[in-house]
Amino acid sequence: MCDPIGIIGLGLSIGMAVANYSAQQEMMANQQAANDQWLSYQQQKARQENMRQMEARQRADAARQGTLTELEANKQKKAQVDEEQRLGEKITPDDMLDQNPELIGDKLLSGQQNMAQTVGEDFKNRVTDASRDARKRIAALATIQSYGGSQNSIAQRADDLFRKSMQDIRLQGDIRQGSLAAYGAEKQVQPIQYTMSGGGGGGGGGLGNQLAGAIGRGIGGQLAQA
Amino acid sequence: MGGKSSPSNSQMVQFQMQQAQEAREKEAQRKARLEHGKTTIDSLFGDENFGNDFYDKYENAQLNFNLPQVWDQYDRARRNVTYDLARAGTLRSSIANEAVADVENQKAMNEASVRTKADADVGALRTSIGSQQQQAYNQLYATEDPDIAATTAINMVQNAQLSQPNLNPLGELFRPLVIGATGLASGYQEQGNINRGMNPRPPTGRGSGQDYG
Repeated sequence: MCDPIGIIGLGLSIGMAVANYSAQQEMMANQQAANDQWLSYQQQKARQENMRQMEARQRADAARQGTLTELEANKQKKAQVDEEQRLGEKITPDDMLDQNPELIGDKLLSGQQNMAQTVGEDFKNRVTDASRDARKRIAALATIQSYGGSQNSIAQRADDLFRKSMQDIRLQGDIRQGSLAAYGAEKQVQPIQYTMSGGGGGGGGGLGNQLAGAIGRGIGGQLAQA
Repeated sequence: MGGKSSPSNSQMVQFQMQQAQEAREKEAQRKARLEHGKTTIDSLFGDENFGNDFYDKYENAQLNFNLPQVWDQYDRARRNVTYDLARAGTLRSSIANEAVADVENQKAMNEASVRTKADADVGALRTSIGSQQQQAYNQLYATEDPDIAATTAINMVQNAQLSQPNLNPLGELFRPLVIGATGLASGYQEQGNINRGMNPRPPTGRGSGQDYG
């Protein structure tokens, strides 16, 4: 003879197991969805960060390449010659007799105005030669300074170029570091985690356990009365 | 059953493997960019672009600025020696030979000094160009690695400054031998004549007194 209470208990146990299984399946599906969502989020953030890093690096590289282009030998040599000419014009006095022979009168000492013609010619030749020699040396001085020392010398120019591009590179580097730090926080994001026990996460599983507990307590009470 | 569901399932492992693969590919691209960048910089600052003509121009400018000063002073020293020898009446003497030889020796040494300085300044210019090349490398690595950018920016300021050659006029380069001990004697004699109220015999014409030898 079958015990009806036992049959009921068995039925309930089977029902509980089914409920538990169902709850577990639901939880696994939810967890899978959460993982998929997390994966999609991480992939998106990784792509975005890659893009940001690449763009910032390209901007820095553009600044670097711009400086390198300006430092090509032909441009440096042209800059040197330009500065040499500018400086030569700037530092050469205007009253050089070799190119301004009309200024001969200004060069005479007081008392020399009425000198003999031959002496005057000799004077003119000597001062003109002196001006010519000085002009050559001034030109040499301009050349020396155009390499380094004058305001637009090639050394000064190179420094300016490097300084400007380094500022851009540093800015982009800083942007990249900041973005990497933010990405580090994004990488720490974890997927939602579902649990079976504790009645919190699983839902169905927790309810099943409570139900089983209540039925178990009811059966125990009936057995005690019998 | 139950317990925590960790993110280390197969999808996540796949994701991490994908990330690792991307990191490897990016590193390979970075390496290629560095190698290409270094090659470009080496070529840019190499001998083909900054050859001897570039440095020779600088050296010649230094020589053209400084050597004429040496030559001017040499001419002046030669003239002074000639005048001193003539005044001392020793123009044709062994002391004259010695004095001229001494001036020639000083000229050679001064020229060598100027040329040596010019050569050293060309060395400084090469260093300056080398410093530019180093800065270009630094920027290359800073571009690829943002961590380097900040420190590089701080350290690179004015690395490429060219040390300035001495552009002041050269001081007195020539010190001819003292010539004319007889000049000292004649000076003493002239002073004696003055003390005696007599004028010495001028180069032309006659003095106010008789000859005293």
